Amino acid sequence: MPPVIHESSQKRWQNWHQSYTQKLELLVDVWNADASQSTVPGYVDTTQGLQGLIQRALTERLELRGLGGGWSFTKAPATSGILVNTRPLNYLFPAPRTHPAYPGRREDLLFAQCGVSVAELNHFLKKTGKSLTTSGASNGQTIAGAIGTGTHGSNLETGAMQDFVVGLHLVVSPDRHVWLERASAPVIHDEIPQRLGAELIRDDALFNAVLVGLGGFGLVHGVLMKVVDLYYLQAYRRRMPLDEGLWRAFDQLDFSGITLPGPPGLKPYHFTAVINPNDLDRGVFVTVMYKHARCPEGSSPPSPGSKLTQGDNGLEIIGVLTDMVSELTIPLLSRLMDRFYTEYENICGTHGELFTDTTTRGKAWGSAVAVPLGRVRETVELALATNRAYPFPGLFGLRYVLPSKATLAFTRHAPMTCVLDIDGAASTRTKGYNRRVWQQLARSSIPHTFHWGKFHELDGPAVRGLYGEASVNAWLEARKALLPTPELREAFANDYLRGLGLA
Amino acid sequence: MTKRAAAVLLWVGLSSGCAHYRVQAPGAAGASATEARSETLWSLGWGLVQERPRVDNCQDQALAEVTQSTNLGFALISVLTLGLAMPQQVEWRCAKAQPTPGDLGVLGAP
Repeated sequence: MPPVIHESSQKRWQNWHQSYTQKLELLVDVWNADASQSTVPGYVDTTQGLQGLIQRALTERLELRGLGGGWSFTKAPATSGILVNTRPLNYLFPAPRTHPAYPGRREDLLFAQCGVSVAELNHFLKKTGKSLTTSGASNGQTIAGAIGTGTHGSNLETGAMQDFVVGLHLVVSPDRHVWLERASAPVIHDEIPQRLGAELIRDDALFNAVLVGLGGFGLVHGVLMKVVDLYYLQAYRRRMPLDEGLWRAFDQLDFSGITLPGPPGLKPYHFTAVINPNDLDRGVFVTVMYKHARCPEGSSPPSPGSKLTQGDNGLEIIGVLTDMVSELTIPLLSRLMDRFYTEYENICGTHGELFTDTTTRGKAWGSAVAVPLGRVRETVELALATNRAYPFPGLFGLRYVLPSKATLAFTRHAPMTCVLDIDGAASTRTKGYNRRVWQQLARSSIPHTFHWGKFHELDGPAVRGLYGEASVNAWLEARKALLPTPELREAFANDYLRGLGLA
Repeated sequence: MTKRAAAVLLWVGLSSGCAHYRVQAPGAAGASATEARSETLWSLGWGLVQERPRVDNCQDQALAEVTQSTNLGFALISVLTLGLAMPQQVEWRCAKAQPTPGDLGVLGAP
């Protein structure tokens, strides 16, 4: 049965964080015909429904864009043409049959339809004794949207979310859809793309380009991901003085100069910091989590009713606070932080229990810049100096990830990428402050890249300069290979991609 | 101030939201399937006639989130009519279905 395609009469669309409104021609919700049971025939029918929408876009000369959670601050998902809401598409297929050369267990694989949210994944995986290796601090994004913009966490042993993806089902035209995976690491049994009616392409360059595809390669219909056995995180948050030892931890992940909260001798699995640049004298918040097969005795479960949860970072804090107050000033932010963002000890839960936020909206405005380990202190000091000259009511967050294989991943700096989040209430002051930091960074010698889903002012030359000519060219070549006609490339372009020189 | 500017100011005052109350299901249930749809509903005759929103976009699923909003214009109408007519704006997002997992491969195959 064909999917249910519900056409909305609304001609404007607003992103989740309410940072912009986009005029559009048509918004459609796509529902699987049988929403109650994940079936291969149902999935195949929905693929055909998506192809019908692509045909309509081509016929009417409109752009087409897949919409996930709409979590991005940037206009990555925005289009003036047809916006295809994929969130109702949430079939799940665990443990697919694997390629004979695949060394892993099929139980560690999960194929999810594009609209499955990170929260849904956490919920489902826990029931099956599995877990995601990582996710963002908030988890209202869909899996396709999260990987398409390079969403990341702060897990010291893995990369960003796209780095646990091992296969992609991509609908590229009215008469073609493909299953993509790496030639160097085949995962799925050849029979499965055949069952889906998809053309099987094993190609490292194509796969790596589509991983962080910014919606520009077609409609990502399904994502095959590698999951791990369920684990528990023992979490601590402590306010610590920003001394030489802590600077070394931030800059090098060298913890020898500080006493981390928690059991001695354990290596942190997760490490983040939240810095209020206007309240440095009282120290900065450091959150550390240790991985266990089960919760240690004496630990407490997370409290689900709290406004802010154990895994929340700067953006979630600002979002929650701006949900409560319309204007955020520097003194008010410090007072609210004291009230709601507190220290805690020995809280233990699964990944999905500690990173829970799906509800925060607020009037937040944020950017995130990635730099390599060893240049972190320099970057944070630059941001602090800018704040001394032009103070803004906001927070810095520091999160760490391994570099990604995705061609245009912003978490690309070896040996480890540190992401400096700068989040504040949406105001002229916050925007002015961020611009000043970006200008200072551009003048510095610090290698840096910007999160595609958070604010930036990149243009074509800047993208080529920061992400590298070779990477941009490889991404564009892959796009041309998968979308061979100018009409298809135009259909899957938008102002955001054109502004970046990527369409 | 010109008449035009006054009219713009009046329009902004009447149309801008000034109070929102949002109820959202916690956890995964709060991750909605659809974008927000809204209707302006009227309570007339001091509640004798109450409009209900026409929710026809949820494909038999529950609601993930409901937001009720009022603004200066609505408040003025309510006050000037002594409560005879009380408009409110209601916005909703549909919940997701909860499909049972399926089998992508051949059952029992290695």
